[in-house]
Parts: sequence; C-alpha cells; structure tokens
Amino acid sequence: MASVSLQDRLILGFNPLLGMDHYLRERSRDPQRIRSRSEVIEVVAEAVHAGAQGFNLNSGPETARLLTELGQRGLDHEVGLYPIVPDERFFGSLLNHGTIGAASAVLSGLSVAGRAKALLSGGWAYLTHDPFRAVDAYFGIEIERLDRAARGFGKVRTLLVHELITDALVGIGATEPLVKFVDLIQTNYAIPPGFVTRNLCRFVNFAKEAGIDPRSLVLLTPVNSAGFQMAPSREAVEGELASLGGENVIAMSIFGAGMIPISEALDYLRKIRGVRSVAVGVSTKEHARTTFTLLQSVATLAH
Amino acid sequence: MTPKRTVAIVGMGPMGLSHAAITNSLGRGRVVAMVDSDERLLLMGKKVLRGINFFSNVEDMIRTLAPDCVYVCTPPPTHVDIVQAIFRAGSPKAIFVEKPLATRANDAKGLAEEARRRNILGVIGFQKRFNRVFEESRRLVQSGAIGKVRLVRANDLTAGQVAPATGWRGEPGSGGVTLEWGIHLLDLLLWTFGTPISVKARRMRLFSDRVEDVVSASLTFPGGVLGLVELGWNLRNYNPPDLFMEIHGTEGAISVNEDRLVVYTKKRESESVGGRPAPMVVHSTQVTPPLPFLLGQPENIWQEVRFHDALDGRLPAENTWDESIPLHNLIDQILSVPLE
Repeated sequence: MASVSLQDRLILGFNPLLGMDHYLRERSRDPQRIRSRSEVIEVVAEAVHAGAQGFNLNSGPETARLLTELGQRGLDHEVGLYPIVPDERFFGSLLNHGTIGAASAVLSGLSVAGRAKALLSGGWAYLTHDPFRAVDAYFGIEIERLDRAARGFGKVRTLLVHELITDALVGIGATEPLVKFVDLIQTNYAIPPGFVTRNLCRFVNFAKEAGIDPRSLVLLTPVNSAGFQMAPSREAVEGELASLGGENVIAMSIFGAGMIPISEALDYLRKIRGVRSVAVGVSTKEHARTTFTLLQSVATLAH
Repeated sequence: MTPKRTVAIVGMGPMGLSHAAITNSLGRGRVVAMVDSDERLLLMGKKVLRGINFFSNVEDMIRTLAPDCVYVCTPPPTHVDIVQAIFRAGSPKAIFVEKPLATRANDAKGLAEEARRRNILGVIGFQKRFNRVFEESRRLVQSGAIGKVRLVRANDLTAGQVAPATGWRGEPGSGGVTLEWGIHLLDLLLWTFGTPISVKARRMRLFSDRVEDVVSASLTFPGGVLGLVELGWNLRNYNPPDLFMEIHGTEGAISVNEDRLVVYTKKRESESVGGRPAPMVVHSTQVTPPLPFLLGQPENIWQEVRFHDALDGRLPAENTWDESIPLHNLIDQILSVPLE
C-alpha cells in the first residue's frame, strides 16, 4: 500500500458554513449565523479565491446539489473534495429508527444512480448477507454523484469515514470492517481511504494491528494548542503526528472550535511536526478571506 | 491485559454499540455478547464483528455466558420484560439500563426491589449528570454559593424531526417528549433540588397524534423552590437542542447549559460597570479532564468510568435504580395530565 501524500494543503471545512459552533451550541441557533445555499456558495467561492485548495464536506444528495450550483457559479481554480460518509441522513435516522432504519434512510436515497438499482433490488437479503458489497455500492454511488456534480471544478480525493463510525470500530476492536473498507476503496476507486478520528494514537495502533500502514490512509483529526478533542492527550497526538510524517494527515479544529486566538493557532502550526494540511471552517466571506490569507503565511503548509 | 469483567449488550442500536465501544476502550470490561431481536442485525453483526457471540434471546445469552454486566439499550417499553428475563436466567453483578428504567413508576419500583434483593447493582443512563458544568452548578447550589435558592427556570428543547413522533416514540405509555427527551432535564432538576413536593403540568400536541410534543410544568421543590419547566421537541428553531437551567438565589444566580456555566454573585456587583456585574464564566472544556478515549460527548465516557468504578467498589454508584424512583413518580404525575 503506497503512502499518501496529500496534494491539498488548505482545505475548507463545512460545519461553520452551516452556522454550526461546537464550542457554544447556543451560537448555532443564532438565526443570523444560518446561511442560505446561495450565501454558502459565495463564502466557498471566496475561500477558494483566498487560497483554499480543498473542500471537506458532507456527502449525499443535498451536497451534490450545492456542488452543482457551485459549478454554475464558477470557482477560481479546481478543488479537491473530501466528503464524509455516511451522510447526515444516517445519523438523523439512527436514534429514531435504529441501525436498520438508518441504513434504510441512506439506501433509499440512492435510487438516482444505476448501481443503486442492483443494490435495492437485492433488498435486505443483499445487505445482510453481504454487507460489504452493499457498502461498496453505496461508496461507488456517492463518489459518482459528487464527481458528477463537481465536474469541471472538483474531484473526490478520498472518502472519509465519519468519526462516530471510525471511533466506534476502534473501540469495539472491529478490524474486519476496516480492512474491507480500505481494500474496497483502494481497489475499486483508485483513491486513498480516509478516516476522521478523535483518537489518533488508538487509530494508528488499530490500523497497524489490522495489517494496514496508517500512512496509506488520509487521516482527519483534531490538532490544536489547547488539546481540544485530542485523545488521550495533546502530547501523545503530537508524538504520533511526528512519527507519521504528516503527508497524510489533515489537522482539524486548529482553532479549538473558536477558543484559540488565530495568532496562537498559527504559531502552533508553525512549530508542530507532522502537519502539512489543515481543514478550517469559515462562516462569512470576510472570515474566509482573512483566514485563508493568514494560513498561507504558515510555511509548513506551503507546497 | 484483557479485562476479566465480561459484558453483554442487549440492543444493537446506536446506544448499544456506543456502550460496547466505550467499555472495550476503557479496558474495564470485555464485550462478549450482543443480543437483538432483529435477525438482520444479528446476521450483519456475525459478519463484521469477530470474537463476539450473538443471540436473539436474552435468557439464552445469560444462561450460556453468564456475563458480569449487562447493558440494556433497547426501546423503553421493552425494558421491564428484558430485565425480568435477565433475573430469570441468572444474576449478573450489574445491569445498566438506558433511560428510563421503566415507562411506569410501579414497574421501576418492582425492578429496583428485585435487584436489591438479588444484590445486583442497577444503574440508569443519565449521562448529563457527568457533564462537569452541571456537576459544578449542583455543587454551587448545594454549597449555598448563591444563597437560598428561590426560582429555577429550565428547559430542554429540540427541533427533532419537526414531524409527528413515530414508532414507540409516538405511542402513549412509551413515547412523548417527557419520557423520550425531557427526562434528562427532570433528572438534573431532582438531582440538584430534590424530590418535588407539588407538580402542576400541561401536556400538548403540536404535530404528534397520540403523545405530547410540549410540556409546561410548575414544580415546587423542598424549601419552596419554584421550578418553571418547559420540555419540547418538534420546535423548529432548536437545532442544536437547548438544555438549560437558570437558578436564582438570594445571593446570586447561575445559568448553565451543556457548554458553559455562568455565575452571578453579589460579591461581583461592587466591580460592575454600567450596572452590569461581570459574571464568572466556566466553559465545559475548562473543567473536563483529558479522557483516554473520545466517542460522542465526554459525559458518556465519564458515566462509563463511574459505572466501572462502582463495580470495583472504588466509588458509590451514581444514577441507581433506587435513586430514580422519585423521578419515575414525577413522570407518572406529568403523564397523568390529560393531553391537550
């Protein structure tokens, strides 16, 4: 398995575009922070203009629609897409309708693509007897959907497994889904598999135990001076980053969800070993302009 | 080192899988079995999770493996039958049930009595108690930091689906905002202020046909503390949800939600500018110690740590079944009010 060397250094994150604030949830309910799709498109365009090379986003039909409209508007340059799977419909359904209901919610949205017909015609028997094949079909449909929507300006660079799934697999110690996922993505789609995790050290050990070189994966994980969401500790994660080398890691939460001043965050990025790419969310055009301009001043993030 | 304590999970939904992952990660227990009534989930589980035994029947699992602890993470209407099945088949050291213990107080009392008789530790999943800002808020109230408390305004509101409640959540006797959502806030209130002396409530539908979407309650706590409480789901502008308490005492006030605690005290009034004294603000990240593992909110991990600490005899158990009986009584009272 070849080591990953990410080509995009500055990646636009998605949640702040939607007005989400993980530091103070009450801010997320502020009506003035909630953006319409046309406003979101303008913020994305501004971020790309200011230096964003990639876009970390949800997967699913709503995102595809956003990408289509982004293409109609036009961007300054091509961007790499870093979608997270499964999409929000899965988690939205999980608590109300259970595991099977959540899987249904995602699968029922796949009927747009030809490959979905084969999947759905097999019904539950298909899913339960060969869950990995069903998951493969789902991945294929998502990649195809997003690539088609972003034709001309964007390309899916990896599929990132949502942190709740990644960290649950790590916790349960389920190596088989990890191995299958990695194999499916590498074999069928010629892109590196990706994982979001708040437990970088554990994940790296888990991958190694499963016989997977963690440097062959794209890893999106919190990295910040406050140690926010870095388990088991900031120091341990820093050590792991240094040993990984940084070419395959995307640092997220670099501002600790808003608690770390920008100058402190940038200083930290300059000092830390093993981070060459960052995913940063912005909420307004001005915020996008300022943030990505400042990030370009960090030499370690330069090509 | 492989932990000796064996753990079984009943219910392979999100809560069951979350408990399995956290328990394994903390190294305090080893998941040996999962139980579910849905054959499709069992079949998938067998294909993707090695080293775990899968069962469709709780009694079979208990008789076969005799695990040390059992987590019951199924819909509320099933809890009584499942716990009774566990009692029939064996006597684990502990049973952890996701909230509520039962949908009726009498059933909860019966289970608590039986567990006590069998010397089984019974715990309920009220993880909000382990959010450090709620712990600190309770400590301040009980230490008299804001004087004699007179009033608490509290709400637990969410957008949810903005649609009629479906499945067991939409069924009278098992669903509705009180049992399925607001129970966390009610638990925090009783934990902080004690068992209410009187209750007046209104229950009303917004979208659902047969269960309440909104509850407004006026509670009187010991010492005459007035509690004004609102519970609601299907409220369009509450995404993300708002779990909030505002506590007024003779010497100060506290407002607290899941992210931060704000304390106003008379002492700080001497330093006010423009008549607005600066409060003390504590964010949850400032008071939450580093965790060895993260999955979901930190309080989920702390709850698990405390459960295993109690099993090891290091600390008293929190959220026990016995302790929950006043809460289940309160819920019975609220649910006895006619639905508007």
